[in-house]
Amino acid sequence: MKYIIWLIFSFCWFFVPVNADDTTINGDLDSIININVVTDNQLKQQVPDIRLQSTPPNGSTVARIYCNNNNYNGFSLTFVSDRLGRLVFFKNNEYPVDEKDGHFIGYTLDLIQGETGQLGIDMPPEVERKGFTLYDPYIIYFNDNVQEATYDAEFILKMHTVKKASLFHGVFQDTITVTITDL
Amino acid sequence: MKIVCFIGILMMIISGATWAGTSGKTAPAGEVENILEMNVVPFESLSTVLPEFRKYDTPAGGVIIAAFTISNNDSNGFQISLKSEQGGRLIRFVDGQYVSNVKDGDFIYYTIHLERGPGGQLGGEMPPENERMNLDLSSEILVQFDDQLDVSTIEAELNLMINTKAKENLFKGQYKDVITFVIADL
Repeated sequence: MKYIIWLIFSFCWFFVPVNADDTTINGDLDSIININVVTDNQLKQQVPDIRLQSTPPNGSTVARIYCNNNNYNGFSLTFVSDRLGRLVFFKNNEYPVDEKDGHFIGYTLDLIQGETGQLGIDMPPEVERKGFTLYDPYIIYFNDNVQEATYDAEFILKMHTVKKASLFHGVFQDTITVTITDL
Repeated sequence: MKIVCFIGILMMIISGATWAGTSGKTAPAGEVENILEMNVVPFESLSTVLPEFRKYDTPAGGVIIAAFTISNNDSNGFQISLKSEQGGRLIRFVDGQYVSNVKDGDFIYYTIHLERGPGGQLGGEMPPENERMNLDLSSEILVQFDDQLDVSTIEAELNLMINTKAKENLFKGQYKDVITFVIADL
């Protein structure tokens, strides 16, 4: 009897390592997609009177944009203007109901890379991100040579205006909404 | 166990929603400074065109006596006030001063037209003719430029025309008045 028990025990002993299974280690990484748009309006300092002066050749900074995204296909930024890509006369907290030529000035935008954060993707070609207008929503795709996740990547939004002598005096304003989307 | 799982999932949803801000706004703005300027260039043409206004009326449309340029960029427009030193009359002027005791032969009434000149850009339309023609300066006159205002006014040229009617009983001599213009935002 002892012999039989010993045999069974020995059998189990030898087969225990054989019965050991592989271990699979799983880890999930949540999607990260967010944007922080910080108004940094240098237009007023650099161009005190937009009627008489154009913006400097490289434009005037109007916002700094910070993006986080870890989608392996990259992301896009969509720019939408409240005023069809124009700075519009703004008085008593409202835009004019009956808009005349002296009530607005058109602008173009450049998006350039800032100095801080990590952009895990190549910047899009200049033709896709410089000199664009916002008469319609404008989309810039960040999907070239995706290497790693983008973390607090800084972008600078530059505005260009060309002096327009026929403007009325006052404040001219627009609101630009920037939206980040996974590709 | 089910309750714990439910709370865990709920926490993940809440934390995800708080974190995922996928759009932001910026409000770029620029400014345009106020301009309100007027330059008046007086003419001496009345004596040239009408050497004897005792005998003759001024030509139809009047005689230009001043041209002025205006710049203004108020979105409501501007107004020009015209004020005569002698109540809308040319008064005889002797030895550097007006005659002190003005008789009927010492003055002649005039009226004024305000007309658009060729230069510059006027931001709106000229006021209706009844507001800017045959102006009697016996009291101060205000002419408002606020019609169909599309753009600012930049060095718009306006001409001031004078009209007189022949007055036979005038004394000989030099006749004079001073008209003051003041421009103001509306």
